[in-house]
Amino acid sequence: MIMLLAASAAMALEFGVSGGVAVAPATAEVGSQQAPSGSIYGAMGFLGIVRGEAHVQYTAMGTNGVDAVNVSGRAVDLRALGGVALPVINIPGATIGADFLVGPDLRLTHTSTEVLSVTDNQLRPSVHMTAAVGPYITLPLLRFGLRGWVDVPDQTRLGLTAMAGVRF
Amino acid sequence: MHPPSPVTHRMRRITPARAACAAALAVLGCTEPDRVRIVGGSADDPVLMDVSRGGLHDLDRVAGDHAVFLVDTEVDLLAASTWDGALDRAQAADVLVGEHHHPRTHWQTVDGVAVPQDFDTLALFTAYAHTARTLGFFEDVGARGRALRPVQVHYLPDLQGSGDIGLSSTDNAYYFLPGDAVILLPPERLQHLPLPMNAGVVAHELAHRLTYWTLWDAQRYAALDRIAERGWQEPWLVESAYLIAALDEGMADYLGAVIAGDPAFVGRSIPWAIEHRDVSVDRTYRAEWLGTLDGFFSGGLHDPYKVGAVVASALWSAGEAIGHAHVAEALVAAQRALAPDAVALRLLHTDLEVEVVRQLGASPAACAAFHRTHEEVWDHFQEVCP
Repeated sequence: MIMLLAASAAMALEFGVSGGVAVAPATAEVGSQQAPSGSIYGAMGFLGIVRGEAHVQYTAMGTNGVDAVNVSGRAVDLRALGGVALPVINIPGATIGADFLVGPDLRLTHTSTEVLSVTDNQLRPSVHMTAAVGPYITLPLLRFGLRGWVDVPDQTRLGLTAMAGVRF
Repeated sequence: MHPPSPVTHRMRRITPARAACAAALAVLGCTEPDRVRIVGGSADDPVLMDVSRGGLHDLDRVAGDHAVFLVDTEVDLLAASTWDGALDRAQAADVLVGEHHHPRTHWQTVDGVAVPQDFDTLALFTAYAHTARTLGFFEDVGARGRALRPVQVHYLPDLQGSGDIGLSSTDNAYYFLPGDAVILLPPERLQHLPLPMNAGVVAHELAHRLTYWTLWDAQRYAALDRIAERGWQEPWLVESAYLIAALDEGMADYLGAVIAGDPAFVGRSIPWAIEHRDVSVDRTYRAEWLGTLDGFFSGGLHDPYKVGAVVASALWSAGEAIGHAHVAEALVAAQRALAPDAVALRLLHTDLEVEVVRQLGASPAACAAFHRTHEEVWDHFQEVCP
C-alpha cells in the first residue's frame, strides 16, 4: 500500500521531438506515397503506466505535377493521445516497455493548386482518431520510442515515428 | 411479391444532438460534395473551376455514369497491333488489357466541393468531367449506340510492346481501339497543360471512338484484315485505309477544338504541334494527292495529319460560319451514311467532306466554307454545290 501511494503521487513530465514518415495510399498506382513528418510533443505519466501525450505534427506532402499545373500540400495535426505505457523489462537504470495510445486528431490541411501561375490555396480542418503503438525505453532523464500509428476513418494515413524526449 | 409501401422514408425526429452532429459534419467537411474542382475553361485559358459531378458517383475510385478510371493497367499493345477481325468490338479486351486497379483519390470537401489534394486526383476529376461533357455533346449531335456508353480510361498504364510498334509510353494519349478504352500516359517532357486536363485532347480520343463505332461500324480490324489478304492486288484498299486514318485524325482534331473552345488546343499541351494542328489555319487540299499516297506521307513517314489537317480546317471554317453544333451533327450523320463505304474500303478522297455539305443542306455558307480549302478539287463538290 505504501508503495502504491508513492507511485500514484509520482507524475512524470516529458517534452520531446519526433520524426518519421506518414504513408497514404497512392492515388494512381498500387502502393503508397510517403511524406516526411515531424512533431514536438509533451507528455505526462501517472501511476507508472498511465500516459497522456499532446503532439503538434507537421507533414510535408510535397509538390507534384508539371510546370503549368501542380499541386502541393502540407498538414498540421493537433493530436491528443491517452493510454498506457506498459513496462515489460526493468533493468538497473532503464525500463523497456510498450506504449498503447489512442485519441483524437484535428488536422489542418493546406492545399495549394497552381494553374498557369494562378494559385488557389485551401486550408481545411478534418477530424480523425489516431491509434499508436510501439516500444519505448526510459533512462533516468531520457525516453526513446518508436511508434506505428494510424489515422482513421477518412483519408487514412499510416505512420512510423521515432521519438526522443527529456523527462522531468 | 409484396406491394411497395407508399411510405419509403420516415421523417426522422430532429433532436439537438442530431442537429449538432449535422452542423459539425458540415463544418468539418464530411458532407457529400455535389461538385468537383477541375481544370476547366478553354484550353488556351485554363482555370480552376467547380462543376457538377456529372454522374461521378464514386469520387474515391473515379467511377461514374460516363467513365470508369483505372490505374496500374497492363496493356498489351503488341498483341493489339495485328490485323484481325477478332479484335473488333472489344471482343479481345480481356486478353489485351491485363491486371488493373481502381485509383484511390485524395480530396476534401470545401463548401460542397470535392477539392483534390494531389495532382493525380485533379487530373482524374478533370478528365472525368471532360469525358462527361464530350459524351453529352456527342449525344446532342446525334451519336448513338456504343460510342456513348461509359468508357474505360486507363490512367498512366504500363504499355507492353510500345517500343516494338513505335508508340510512345509517355507524353501522349490514345484511343485503344481493341479495348474500347482511352489511355492517358504520364507526362515526362510535356510541362504545359497536362493531357488529361486538356478538354480537347480527351474529346479527340473520344472522337476516335465515335468514328470507330460509327464510320467504321466497329469493323476496322476486319477491313484491315482484307488489306492483308488482297491489298497488294487491290491497292485502292490501301489508299482508302490511309484516307480513313487521315479523316479520323482530322475529325478528332475538329471535335476536340469544338469541345475545348480552342482551335489550337493541341498546342496548349504539345507546343511543337501548334503549327500543323491548329484547325483555324487555312489549308488547301491538293489535287496532286488524288489517286496517290502522297497525301499520307511526309518525309517518307506516315503522316495522317497532312490530309487530316485540311479536313479539320474545312470543318472548323464551316462551323465558324454555320455553327459548330450544326457541323458536328452533319459530321456524325455523314459518318453513319458512309459507313458501308468505309467498311468496304471504298471511301475516296473528299467523299466525307461532300457528304457533310450534303447533310448541311448544301447551303451557300457551307459550300463557301469548303470551297476555301477544297478549291483545287472543287469538281468533286459539283454534285452538291452547283
